[in-house]
Formats: sequence, C-alpha cells, structure tokens
Amino acid sequence: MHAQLVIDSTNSRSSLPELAPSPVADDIAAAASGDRRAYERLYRAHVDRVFSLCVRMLGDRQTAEEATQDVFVRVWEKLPGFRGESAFSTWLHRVAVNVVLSRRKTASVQNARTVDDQEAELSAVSRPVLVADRLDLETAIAGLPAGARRVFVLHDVEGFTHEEIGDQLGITPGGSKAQLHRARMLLRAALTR
Amino acid sequence: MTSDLTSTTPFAADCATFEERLMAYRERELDATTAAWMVRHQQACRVCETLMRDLDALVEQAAVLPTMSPSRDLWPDVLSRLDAPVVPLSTRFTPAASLTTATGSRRGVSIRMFAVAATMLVAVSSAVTWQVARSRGAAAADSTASANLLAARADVRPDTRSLHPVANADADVVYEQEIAALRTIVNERFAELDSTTVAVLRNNLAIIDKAIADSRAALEKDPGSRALSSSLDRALESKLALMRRVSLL
Repeated sequence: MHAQLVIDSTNSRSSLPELAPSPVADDIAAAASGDRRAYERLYRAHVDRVFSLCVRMLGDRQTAEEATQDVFVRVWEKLPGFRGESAFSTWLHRVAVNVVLSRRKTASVQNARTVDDQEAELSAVSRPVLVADRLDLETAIAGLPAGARRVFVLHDVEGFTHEEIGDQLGITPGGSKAQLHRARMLLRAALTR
Repeated sequence: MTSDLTSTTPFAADCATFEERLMAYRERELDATTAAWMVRHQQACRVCETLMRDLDALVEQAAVLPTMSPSRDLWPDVLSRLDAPVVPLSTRFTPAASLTTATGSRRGVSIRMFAVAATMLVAVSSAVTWQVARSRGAAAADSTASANLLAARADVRPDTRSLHPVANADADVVYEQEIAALRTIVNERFAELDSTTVAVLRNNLAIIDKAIADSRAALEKDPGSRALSSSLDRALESKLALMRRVSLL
C-alpha cells in the first residue's frame, strides 16, 4: 500500500527559483513605476508557481489560466503599494490566494467542479485510481471537496500554517486542521484503491 | 484519561481510537500519556503503522509537487489588461445616480476617469504634433513616425532624442505638458488616498524625479549620448505611467 504512494518528484517548493535580490528588487521598483518590461520579467519568473497554485486550488486548468491572468493584473495594480515587508514571491502568493478565493465567491464563476462537498467527497473516495504517480496525486487533489482541497493545497503543497490559512479562508485554525486531516484521509483512500 | 487505552482494550477498538485521535496526534496536540499510547499502538499494529506511513508519504510528496505551466503564453492577455481599468457598467454614464450619491465615490471615479481621459487625449495630440514637427524638421527621421507608431503599440518610446537636440527639447516639452496636466489630478488623489499609500507613491515619484534629474544632468555633459537620452525617456515614461495609475486609483 505504501509503495503505491511513492510519487516521482522532480521539483519542490524549496527549489522554486527565487531570483537574486538585486535584479528582482530593480524589476519590482521599475514595474511599480509602470515599466512593463520589468513587469514581464517578474511575470515570467513567477507565472508557473502562480498557475500551479491556481490549478490546485480551483481544480481546473482553464479556470486557473483565467485566474492567473487576474492575479497578474491585480499585482500590477497593487505593486505601487508593495512595501517590501515580505519577499515579493510571498506577497505575490498571498495576492494569488486572495484572487482565487474571491473568484469562488462569485456565483458566475462556480463551475461544475465546485460541487457540493458531500458529492465531491464520494467521488474522491470511490473514483478508481490507477498506478500512483504524480499525476494521480494531482488528479486526486482535484477531486477533493473544495474546502478540503484548498486547505490541503495551502498547507501541504504551499506550506502555509493553519493560522495563515485560517486568516485567508476565514476559518479557525482548528477548522483548517480538521479539513487538512479529512483531505489527507480522502487522498490516501483514493490513491490506495 | 487513558484508562480505556490499556492493553486489555479490544484490538479493533484500539484502531478506531487511534484513527479518532490521529489528527490531534499528527498535530502534536495530545497529552503525553495519550501520545505514548498512540506510539505503542502504532508500533504494535501493522494497519495503523501503514496508515501513518502513508500519510507521511503523502505529506512528503505533496510538498515536492512540481510547478505546472499554462497551456499557452498568458502574458499578451495580461499585458492587454494592464492599463485597461474595468469600470462596472453601473458606474458609467449614470449622472443622476452619481450626482445624488452622498459619498460621491461613484461620481469621483467617473469624473476622474473623464479627466484622465481628457488629459491623455491632450497628451496624445501633443505627441502627434511633436512627431509630425519632428519628422518634417529632421531629414534623418524619415521612418520615425512609423517607428513611433510601432513603438507606441508596444508602449515603448523609441530612441528619438539622441540624433536631434531640438527634438530632445520638443520631447521634453511634450512630457512636461502631460506631467503638468496630470499633476492636478494626482494631487487630488493624494488628498483622498491613505497616507501610507501616499507616502509610498511620493517616494516612488521622488526616486523617478531623481533619475530624471540625473539623466538630464548627464545629457547636458554629453548631449549626443543615445544611452543617456534613452535613459531620460524611460524615466519620464515611468513618471507618466505612475501618475496615470495614481490618477485612476
């Protein structure tokens, strides 16, 4: 059973490219002043990570591409207010999470994937999973109930604490822990079938 | 608390208890006695040991999931939206509503939008006039107009300064006209925005102003430098871009 969960991993959040401070700082300052070329460099450096977050949070690549665009438009608008109190990538990440969460609050954006939690839970548990690999885990994550999926992605994939997740999702840290546990158990069930 | 967790407890019930307390165990929220029982049970029970190992593996693998890329380059779409502020239909062309809104926020946005649009129109007219005058006055500028058009589409001003000092002066006039036109709006926005935001914006403007001053000083010493003139253009463009964005905040 355990062997089925061994997933080929070639990348990690710890190995995410964080550009050298100086060029990034220059690009941030230039982009904040309206330099689109500098902003494009920032976009290129961070788009994959933002897109990955959007895909996993939303469970749908098409919607995630739209959300990714929204994120970078939003960041462009907010960049003059970026005070550098946190790393740019951290700040960008928070903006991305907020954009994703605001999308789910818009009724028109609710798509078929954002189904009732109970229904999704059943599908996650009962859906047959092939030989476990990275894609299976991605598929299983996409099949989680929305609440559990968001917490799992934010905590186990993105590395946020329960307190941070609670702030972002408007739930208690205890609620975040419960959702995380639920997500892990559902994923295990899906991946070991 | 753990009297029910002695070795006399039926094994299946132990597993159920283990699962019930698993979340708190993994979050290290159990008291020492209960945690010790969880450890003992995990060591003695192959099923629960496997469960723990599976969850550990899952956590480990989730942390190293690779990044994914969009199916296409999203930058062109992002770029097209950067300077196209979306004003909800309900805030457009609703003079009655805007005039009767107590807070004036809608009215403020609408008037500001119109003011910025008007300013930009004036600036564009000035720029076109400048370009035409330049192309007539400078024999070497045959292709400048088309280059400017192309550059304008890419939101990049071409290097139009270095060859012609007269044109440089004209360009400065155009920039200054646009900056002057926006300054009033920007000052009004500063009065309305949060003081911290204003401080950051003022600081950014000060940095750009210094870059402009430095570039001008350097150009005075070396008027023919293409690099310096480009640098001055970029700085002026940056200032304009920031002022436009402040106007629309």
